[in-house]
Amino acid sequence: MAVIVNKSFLHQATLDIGADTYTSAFRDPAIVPTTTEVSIVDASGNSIPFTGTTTYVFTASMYQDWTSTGLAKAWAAAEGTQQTIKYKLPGVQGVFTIIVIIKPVQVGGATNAVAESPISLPVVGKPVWAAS
Amino acid sequence: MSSKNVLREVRQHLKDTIKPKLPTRWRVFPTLTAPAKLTVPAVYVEFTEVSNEVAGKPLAAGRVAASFELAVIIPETAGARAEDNADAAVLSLIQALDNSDQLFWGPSATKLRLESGQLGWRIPVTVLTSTVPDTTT
Repeated sequence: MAVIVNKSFLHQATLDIGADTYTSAFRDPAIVPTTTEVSIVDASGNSIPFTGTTTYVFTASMYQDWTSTGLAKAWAAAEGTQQTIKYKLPGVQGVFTIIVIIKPVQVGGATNAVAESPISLPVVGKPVWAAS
Repeated sequence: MSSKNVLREVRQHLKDTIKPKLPTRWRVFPTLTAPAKLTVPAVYVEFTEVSNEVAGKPLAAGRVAASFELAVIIPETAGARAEDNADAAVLSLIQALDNSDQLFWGPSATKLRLESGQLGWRIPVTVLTSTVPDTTT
């Protein structure tokens, strides 16, 4: 049996939205899967688990930017549209392409802290991996 | 943020930001100058730390939090009058800081006394700055 060395990495993704790169607009980005689970107990008493279809959401904290080039401003205007995000991981970990539905982001927040908005956007279908 | 608010010029930026909001006769030193023989209240800017966090939250790439200690020193050395002037001076400085953008002071200011006898206050100030100038604002 081979010993596989795990190539773990520091998570430092780059994010392209449409044709532009917005990496510095986010921290802690993630594509989060949710899978429903049920289990039934049959007549013999055995528990049989089932899983449903996985859905995904794109989560992050966005640094608000309401200037002309700001993503926060752009998303407030683009509510309900679908946009493509290319989520590139370091090295040869690859690129995940997702299509998300845009929602407006929170304005403001804590005083004397950098203005951030929590992001949670539904992903259409599944992430598509490609080599980087 | 103004295009001048970059890390390499942040001491001068802080001076330029607060100087117009202070009483006109005050002096502001943007460097670690040895205290001169004072005749008017003076603010000394001590640049003490750079950080990639504000309020425990990491900053975006290109943003830097610069920490300062501002020391406001009055020329008087003793007596109730001197203490009154020192307290009035810190109030003026706090009001100037409250009226400035992209910085905040606190959480607390502490009183100090120089070896030469002058009274003053020391206020921590955090300035949000960037490694390169913003081009779009």
